[in-house]
Amino acid sequence: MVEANRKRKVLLIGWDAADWEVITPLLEEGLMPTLDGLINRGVMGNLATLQPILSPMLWNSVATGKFADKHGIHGFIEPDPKNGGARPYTSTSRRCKALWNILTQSGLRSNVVGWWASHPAEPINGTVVTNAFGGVKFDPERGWLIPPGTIHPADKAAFLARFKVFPSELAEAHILPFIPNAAKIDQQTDRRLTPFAKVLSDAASIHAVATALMETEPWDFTAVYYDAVDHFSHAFMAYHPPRLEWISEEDFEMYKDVVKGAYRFHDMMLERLLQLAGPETTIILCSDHGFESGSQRPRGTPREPAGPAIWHRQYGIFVMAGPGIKRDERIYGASLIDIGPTVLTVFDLPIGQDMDGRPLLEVFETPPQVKTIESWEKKTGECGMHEEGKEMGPDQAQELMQQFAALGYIEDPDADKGKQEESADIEAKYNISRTYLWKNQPDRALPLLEEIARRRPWEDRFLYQLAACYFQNGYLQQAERLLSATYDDSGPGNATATLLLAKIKLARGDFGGGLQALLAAEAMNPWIPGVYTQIGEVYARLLQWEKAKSAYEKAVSLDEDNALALQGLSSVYRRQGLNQETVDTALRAVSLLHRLPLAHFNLGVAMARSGESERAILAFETALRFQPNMVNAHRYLATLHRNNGGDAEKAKFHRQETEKITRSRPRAKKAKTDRFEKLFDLPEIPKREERLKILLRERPDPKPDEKKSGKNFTLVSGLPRSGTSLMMQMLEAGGAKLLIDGERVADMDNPKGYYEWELIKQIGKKPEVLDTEGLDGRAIKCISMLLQQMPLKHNYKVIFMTRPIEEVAVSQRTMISRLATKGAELDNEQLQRGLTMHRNEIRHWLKSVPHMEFIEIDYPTLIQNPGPEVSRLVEFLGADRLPNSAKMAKVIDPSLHRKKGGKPMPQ
Amino acid sequence: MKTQKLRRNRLTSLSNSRWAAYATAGAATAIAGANSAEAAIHYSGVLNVSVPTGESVAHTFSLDNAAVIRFVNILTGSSGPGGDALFRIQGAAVSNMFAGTAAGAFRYPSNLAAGASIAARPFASMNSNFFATLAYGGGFAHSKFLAAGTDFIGFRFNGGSGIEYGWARVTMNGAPGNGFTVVDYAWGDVGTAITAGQTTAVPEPASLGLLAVGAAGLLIWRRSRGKAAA
Repeated sequence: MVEANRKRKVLLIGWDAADWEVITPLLEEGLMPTLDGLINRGVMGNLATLQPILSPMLWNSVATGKFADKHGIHGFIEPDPKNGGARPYTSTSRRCKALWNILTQSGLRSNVVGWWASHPAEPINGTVVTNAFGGVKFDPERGWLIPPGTIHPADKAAFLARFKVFPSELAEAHILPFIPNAAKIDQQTDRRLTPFAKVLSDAASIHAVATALMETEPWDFTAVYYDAVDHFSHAFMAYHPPRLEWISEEDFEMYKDVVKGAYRFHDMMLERLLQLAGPETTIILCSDHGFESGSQRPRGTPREPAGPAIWHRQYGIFVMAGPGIKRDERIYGASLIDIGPTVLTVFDLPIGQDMDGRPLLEVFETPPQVKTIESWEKKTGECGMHEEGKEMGPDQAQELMQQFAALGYIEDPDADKGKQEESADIEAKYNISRTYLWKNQPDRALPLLEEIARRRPWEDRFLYQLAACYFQNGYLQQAERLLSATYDDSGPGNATATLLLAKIKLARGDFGGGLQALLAAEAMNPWIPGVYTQIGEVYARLLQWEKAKSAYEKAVSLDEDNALALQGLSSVYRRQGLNQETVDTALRAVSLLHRLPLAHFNLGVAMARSGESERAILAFETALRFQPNMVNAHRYLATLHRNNGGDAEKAKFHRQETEKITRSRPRAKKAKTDRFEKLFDLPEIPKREERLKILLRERPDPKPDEKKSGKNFTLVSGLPRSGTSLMMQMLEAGGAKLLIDGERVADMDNPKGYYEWELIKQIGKKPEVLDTEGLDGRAIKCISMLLQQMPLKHNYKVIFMTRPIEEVAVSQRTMISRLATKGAELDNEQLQRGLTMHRNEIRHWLKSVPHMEFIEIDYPTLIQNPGPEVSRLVEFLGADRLPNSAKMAKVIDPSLHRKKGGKPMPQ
Repeated sequence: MKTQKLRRNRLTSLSNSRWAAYATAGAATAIAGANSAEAAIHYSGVLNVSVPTGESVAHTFSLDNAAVIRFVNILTGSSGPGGDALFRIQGAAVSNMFAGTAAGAFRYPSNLAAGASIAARPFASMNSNFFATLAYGGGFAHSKFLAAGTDFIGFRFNGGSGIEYGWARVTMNGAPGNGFTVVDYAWGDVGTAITAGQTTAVPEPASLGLLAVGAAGLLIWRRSRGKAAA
């Protein structure tokens, strides 16, 4: 066992999608005082994200210090090897140790809350509450439902489940700070409040659980992940000021404060976390990516899985503070892949050499000695990972799938299993191929992209990515061929593909053709900074410095965090001999993205020219770290080491490297140009119109405006045991047509029978059961849990029976214990709280949906004085549905109301 | 005892000024004035001052800003023997009003149920010399306090610093004598919403702040909600 530094504590807080561009103005206004204080006593900076920008992949990179190809989480869903179909990526899919496993192995205790793909909970030293905690529910027939595997150790489940916050618990006072005019929203037509309440209550749940653990459990490491900034941003960033021209003034006024409120709420939660952590704890606050909040906000979201990621920006946030950490400083070039190694360094634990990140040594007042081991994976001993073969049950998988679908990250979770499995497989391959491309391993991406482009040649994104991959591999001719097969002779017609075409021409040395294509791309979309970066590059190659400069400047004016444009500018300044400007722009570029060899090189040249030899050496060495065959960097270093009177050995090394590279160049160049013309088979690509047709068929709008059937059913609903059977009897007596079968006969609990229709219980899976001829207008008994599953195409009149919760609970316990189901173990208070919550939830929902009208009928009132209640029913349903309404009251047998007062009558 | 440990920590959570800062900016204007931390309700305590039929002595109770409320019962004979139960608010420099209606020279306070929001009622000004009628002998159409039982009178006054709302609770003995008991009364400072029967400004906990406190805050919030619902 590796002994870790026991004195250290680390609190790692994840705010998905938090972005300095939104935060900075709030800090200036004094609206995020806690974060402001944290920054002042620590360091802050941008945190470069990884590609593709998908949260499960990214947060697992944070936790492991490894890219997705190593950690094995390749997106949201994967094929389910056990049950068929697809399932969300789980902790069983992760192929390497996360921080909490390494810490377990090192004798340290962790709390892990809400982390992506942490379900089912791993048996670590400490507590895990997984990302399935949102699935804690109350079922009026079965009691509290905590998805198995949500909490480790399992005996904490009951204690922690009560910190689940339900949307129905939120009051006006919670909502008004975000949406001051919430009361004016017509919830029949504007549904945005419903997801809002869900996101807020989920955040409150995670926070309550995290704080409960921090208060009650000893810990060395706590990791808490909050997804609310991302979710609020996806739902409401379009309304964030300044108003976008396509957002109506009315919507803007209503929702403009939501994002701001979300950040401020997080600042308030942060205050509590810091308070509980205490000053001796090292705090790391980070986000996995940023979120477009300015003029670059997209107008829509692409019709594809993970389409919402189009809103994600390259840079997240990073703040770190605590003992031994620098104060009030900015750091540069951090990437989220560096978080894991940095945490290990704080604990004085070794970094695995197979980790892709580096410890951020620049944050420490005195940089610690970094220890390494070959790999933590090879280290034996109990680390709290799952045993081989552990899988998640199909129900939980389904539940998580529904959650992802609701967020728009995955396609229809109800699709058939074969299709689901295929989609999951394709998406995972697509995502991992993008990781390879991003890591500059295009040869590993190629077979994956070729495969999926063949399987789905109607998806433009696969074709484009394959072309880009051919290009990155140097197969210029093949890339060009694929583009022209995809876009016919008329040209791509979109800026991204036109840009790729331009790059191909430039790589061949066709500057004229390249520039023409670039100008075409600019005309198609004058708002893409990348177009101007490319144009700048062409002019630079043509030695047109002023034109290059103005193109780069245009790119920066569109996106001031465009590292490539800043790098380009630094090259222009270097060529113009402007040392100061070179240094300024190169430093800005590498502060945004550290891996920019050319920017480091430019910096080195400007430093060398200014006589700053030591700094120049550092810059050139950094450039070589990212691009070891950069011959001019070796040249400079050879000269610097020689002239500096210093290091003859190093001078010699760099001279030799220079010669070696220069000698191998013609060969390398030939190998490169040989690739240019190499051709491969092309998949059969349908014509553009045909592709669009297939796309629309395969991926219909997730929320189609389903044609209304014109049918109108009467639903008798409410909590179980709240008088629904009686109401069915009354309707029958009143002459209403019922839809019932005789399956559940009268018993002691419902002496007059249940009046149920079994098929309704399958309505979620078989919505067509209501399509049968002749059912229109029938009355159906429908327990409250099923209301939300009723097909949207019909209209419903819902008679919602209410009864004092104590009575329902008693009545239900009597029945449950007779049926000897496990619900009988519930304690009464918990049962009542759950029932109340469930009923409020349903009422709230009923008020907000347009396809259901409802009235509430109070069971005791009905029994004591049926007259007025019957009149209300007639008014609600219409006299034609209740031709014999005079007979309805006669059905009531007051002796049925025997659970009154919460005391069961002797039976 | 994990929960106790959680509860002990609750007050270290979030400063008032912090919440105030949060609540001030435009985003939260809608909740401002509901119940700010400084708001106070002044409560008389239980008085049970009897005002018997025909006593003809005005009982006066002080509010602030020079305002007072007064109660009296005088004998009346115009519609048979009986008592006239009367109420008046006076003394505040800018305005003295009650929740109710005016009919000609006469004023009739409304009888409010416990929990009614005072500020939301329609108000009428006092007639400069007359008391307002709670109940008159065997009853005229406008009198609202003829029946025996306990009800509330709402009032508002402005001594120059803004409007303050309040209530007085009376138990009527019934027509035609209309003797009554002044049970108690209360008023809230400027900017304080008050409901009939409310005696303390229990400021609604800063709800969002409580959620931000996490576990401990959530439990407090649920408890307060539980009480409100009870």
